[in-house]
Amino acid sequence: MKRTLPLVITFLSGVFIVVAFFIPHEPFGSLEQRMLVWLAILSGFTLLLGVDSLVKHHVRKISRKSKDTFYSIVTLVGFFGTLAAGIVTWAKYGTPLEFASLNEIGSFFWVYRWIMVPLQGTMFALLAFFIASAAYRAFRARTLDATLLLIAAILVMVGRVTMGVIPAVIALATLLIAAGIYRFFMRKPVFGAILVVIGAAVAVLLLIFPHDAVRLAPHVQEWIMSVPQTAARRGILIGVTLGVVAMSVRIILGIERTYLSST
Amino acid sequence: MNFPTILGLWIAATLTIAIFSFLYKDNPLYKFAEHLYVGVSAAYWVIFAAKFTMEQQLINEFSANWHLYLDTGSRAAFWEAWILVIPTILGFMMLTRWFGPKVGWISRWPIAFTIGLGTGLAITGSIQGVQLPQVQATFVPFWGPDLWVVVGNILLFTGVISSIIYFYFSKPHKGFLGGVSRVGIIFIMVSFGAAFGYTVMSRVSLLIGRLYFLVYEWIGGTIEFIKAL
Repeated sequence: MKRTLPLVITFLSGVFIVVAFFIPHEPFGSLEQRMLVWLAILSGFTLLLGVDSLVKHHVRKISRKSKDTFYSIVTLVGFFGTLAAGIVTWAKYGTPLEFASLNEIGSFFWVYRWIMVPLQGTMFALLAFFIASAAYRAFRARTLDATLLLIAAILVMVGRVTMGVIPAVIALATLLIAAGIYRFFMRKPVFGAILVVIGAAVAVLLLIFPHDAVRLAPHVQEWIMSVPQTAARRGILIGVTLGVVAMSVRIILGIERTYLSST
Repeated sequence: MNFPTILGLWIAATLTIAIFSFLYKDNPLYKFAEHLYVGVSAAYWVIFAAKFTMEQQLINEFSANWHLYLDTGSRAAFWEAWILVIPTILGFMMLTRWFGPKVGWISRWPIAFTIGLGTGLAITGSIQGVQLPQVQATFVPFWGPDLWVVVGNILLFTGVISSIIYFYFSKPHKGFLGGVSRVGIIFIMVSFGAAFGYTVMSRVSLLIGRLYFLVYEWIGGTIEFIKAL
């Protein structure tokens, strides 16, 4: 009852969806869409479990008077304050996201506009700095693979900054030459020399054809994104979906049952 | 510009600076903003789900079909309304986890149902939605009037095949297989580099957006507000 019935439910619901896919007539035809709605409804209930866990966790921290009590209070005030704003706006306008104009917005939308958007946007903007520090570690042109990674990344970045193509190409050439000289004296003379030659070639080409560099940079970026990037991404995607299908079949047949272990 | 807007501007600017303060080191100001974000976004998604899922897809849908049944006597509308009881019951069964392991095991049923649906949809969706279209798009012509397009197509085909072979681990990567997987690594590296560059640019544009907000909206808005007083 506790373990077998869930396995039977998984098997029946999984097989039912797959079979329904091959029957394009009612009531099976619209079944996929209906099931997506059911999943959304179920996720709505599941969200309550998550919220319960969040609130309990912070209430526990407050009651224990741990050193982060103040921050737990901030989380709970933020949570219940936003919830109250949402309920009040919903009751007042019939929808929580109601705003008459940018200057006369409902309290929930005000929280969204002035608290959630700046926090979310800045959190992600902060990643620009950490990505830069990660790039320093990943892009040190130690091997051919790392160099390819570096060149592809820089070409894409250069192609997406139309105003700064020439400075960016100069930076690319300088980087390649510097990395090449470093490698040349660090027991990799051939690889270092190749890097120096590529960097010098980029610099010379920029000096001879500065206007073409500005014109070509977006096209090069576009080509990288649509040919080599698409090719590898497609290969990975096909592999991933094959894995998804294999794992799904294992779950439907009850071979994989770890999802039942948490309860 | 009214008072709620100027107050919002100042709060948004303070929170923006609080998050950026993490660049110096982890500090109380950053922690405050981080914890506030967790609370606010959790409540936002609760309200969002309540409005756009529970109200629109459950309550309104039930109500509309039930009234249609009452008005017209349509059996289809009757069933359309009452079939929504199934996900509702499953949802309440999910909440039995609140009452401990003695009752909590009942939540396995909706979990099993969700997993079953998810796997069924994953099988059909990934085959129909991803695999077949991606394979179809890979078989591109190797001839044509535009040489550059032909070269691109050959590289695309080579890249897809070699990338897949790189992830084939059932045989050791030696000889021909080793050579092809080496080509695969080259494509994968270029792809990762390009994806990295693309992500960097999107993050930088977000950063520019936040700096623009601080300079133009916050400082500019405050000056405008003071002038209007």
